[in-house]
Amino acid sequence: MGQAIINGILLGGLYALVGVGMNVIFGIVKLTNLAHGDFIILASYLSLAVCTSLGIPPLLSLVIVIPIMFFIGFFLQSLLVNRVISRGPEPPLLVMFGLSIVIQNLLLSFFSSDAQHLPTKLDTRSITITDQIAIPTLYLIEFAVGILVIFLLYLFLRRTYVGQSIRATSDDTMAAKLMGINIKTTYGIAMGVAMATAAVAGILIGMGNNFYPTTSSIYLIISFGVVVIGGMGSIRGTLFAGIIFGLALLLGAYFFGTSVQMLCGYLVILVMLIVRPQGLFSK
Amino acid sequence: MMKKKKLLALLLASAMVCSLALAGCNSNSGTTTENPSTTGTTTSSSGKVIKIGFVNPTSGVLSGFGKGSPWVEQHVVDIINNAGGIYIDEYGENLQVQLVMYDCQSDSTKAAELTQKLIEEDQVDIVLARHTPETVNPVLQVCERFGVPCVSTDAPVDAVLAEGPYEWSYHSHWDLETIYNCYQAMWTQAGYAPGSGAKVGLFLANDADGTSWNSFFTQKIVENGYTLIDPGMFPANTQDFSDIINQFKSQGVQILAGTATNADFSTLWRQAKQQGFDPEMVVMGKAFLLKSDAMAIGADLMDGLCCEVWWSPTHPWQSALTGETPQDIADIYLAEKGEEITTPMGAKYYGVEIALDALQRCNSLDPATIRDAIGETDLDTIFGHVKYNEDHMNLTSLTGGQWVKTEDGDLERLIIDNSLYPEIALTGTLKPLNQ
Repeated sequence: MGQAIINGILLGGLYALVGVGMNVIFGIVKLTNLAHGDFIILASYLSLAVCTSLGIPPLLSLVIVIPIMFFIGFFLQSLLVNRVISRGPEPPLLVMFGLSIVIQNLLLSFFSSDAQHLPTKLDTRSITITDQIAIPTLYLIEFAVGILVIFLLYLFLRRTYVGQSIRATSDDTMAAKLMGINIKTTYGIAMGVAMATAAVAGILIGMGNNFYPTTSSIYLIISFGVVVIGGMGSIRGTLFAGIIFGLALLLGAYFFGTSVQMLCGYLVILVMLIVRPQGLFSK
Repeated sequence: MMKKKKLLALLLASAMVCSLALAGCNSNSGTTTENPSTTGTTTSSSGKVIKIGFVNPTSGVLSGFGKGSPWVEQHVVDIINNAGGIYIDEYGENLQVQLVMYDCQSDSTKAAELTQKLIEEDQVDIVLARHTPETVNPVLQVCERFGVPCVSTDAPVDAVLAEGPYEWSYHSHWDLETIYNCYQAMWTQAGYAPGSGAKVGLFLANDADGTSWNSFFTQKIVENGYTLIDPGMFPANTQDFSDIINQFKSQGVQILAGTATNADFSTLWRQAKQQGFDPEMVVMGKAFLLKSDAMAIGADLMDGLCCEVWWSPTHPWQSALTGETPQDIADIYLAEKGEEITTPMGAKYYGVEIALDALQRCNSLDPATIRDAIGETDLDTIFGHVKYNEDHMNLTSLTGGQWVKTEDGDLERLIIDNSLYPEIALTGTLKPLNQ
């Protein structure tokens, strides 16, 4: 039981990280990012390329992969999504869906369909607490990094000028425009930031799990779950939602067996939709 | 508030679309690669060719199995085409063989749709089905419905037979009985003979493979005097196995056995190491059948893990059709592609062999005649001898294998048990896991 709770909370940190990028885009650009899972796996592959060519550990590759992902996000938003964003919600949705297909197939042709894994020694280590409880080192790192990223994102949106203009745009696009904020640049930065969080998530996932170009769909589902539980546009809510989702999975497995683990996660989402459809922390 | 509701509706709609896409295993994403590879050699005066069609999991979760297509198939067909093709009575001349391949993206629904396309639009004369029940069963069903001869390989016989009986399709692979015996032979070699009461932990996903293994293995393990620890089947892509590992660990599992995808097993095995679960032996199907899969788990983690071996370059078979041995085709593939050949490529190869051999014997493009010719197959192939029984099934060989880390950090799969098929030579001896 103790082990399940600890693992659930720690895994929740990773799930929050998976969902937070989706939530940023949803809250600010008002766009359902169907390619979010693919962005995460794209980051895993970018990190793989960096790690193997430079011979550095995956966590260090963050220094290179985060900026790359930020710029990919910024330019994708500026050159592609912004062109269709004013035509209602469907065209950008289709653009993201198309991007998802393009990314999967690009990864398939560049990296082939072979299973991949980011080389690390951390994936088999753990910290023994008692005979019954051992904390997996990687889970601990995922949790710590997840909290750190979400905290930094929170500070960025609250304290910096760019962050404030992003929030202003999110609250009232027209008023923000009147105040002289460039909406499209703001959207670009928001997408870049979301991609940066996807980069961190992708690298952590690549260290713990084997991945293929087609692994993305499971992470898209997780990020949807986190957004639904946490509330759209709420960064703080994402963190709690991740932990609730992680706990639901692990406690579900503990009480009813691993066979219904995912089902328990989906049930929590369902209950959430019935009881509080706007999410835990929605404004 | 209205805006929020609209957004929520949109989010939900997209979530549903995505889960559908996930359930259909990306049936909506990816492109259908149409790859009708023509042979390029002389065509007959009538312009008619013999068409052999197949769907291949080139992309998607089964793409490891899809690797090598259509290279392998084309290689076999080229040998026949270069020798002049196959004489067909209806046309009174030799016809060339042409392959038509579509990517089913590892998706069952897509596999069925594309098989229908092969039959209706491309009007293929024979369909080949291959690679796991997911992409074999739907293809066979379509062939049965349209009355098109089908040569099927590479999916456990039991899973295919369960969807039978068959009139137009013939299938060849190992069955669960053989794989269980193969596993048990390895356990026995490691010192856990039947009746020893050794604790066997089962690790099976609730997919088509896992479900059919589950009913058979749970029964056999108990019958043969082992202690079964069965934590229940898990859904594919589970992210955390700590509960299963805990059960294995607390009950002192000595042998970990089952079948799982590479993604699921790699997650389990890493988390097992984290939680200090060290079984004496691991025998796992599917997860590290391919070397690229084993390498993705990592040489250190893979060292000493066992699996079944269906086929390898050192197997003693020889193709009666082309004269090639497993070693020959492995060498040619390595020279042309710079990669080691994989086990499923052997299955691709002998599927084409059976089809071409039947055509050579019946000299006809009449579906029923081709079907009967396939049924009468009695052929030495690169995958062993093929002769179908009254259920349209043929059993292939299985030996026990072990992945061993070499001194330069590479991985090598050795054949460490041949008690079921002694004619296949051993290439190594079993070494204990925790050393």
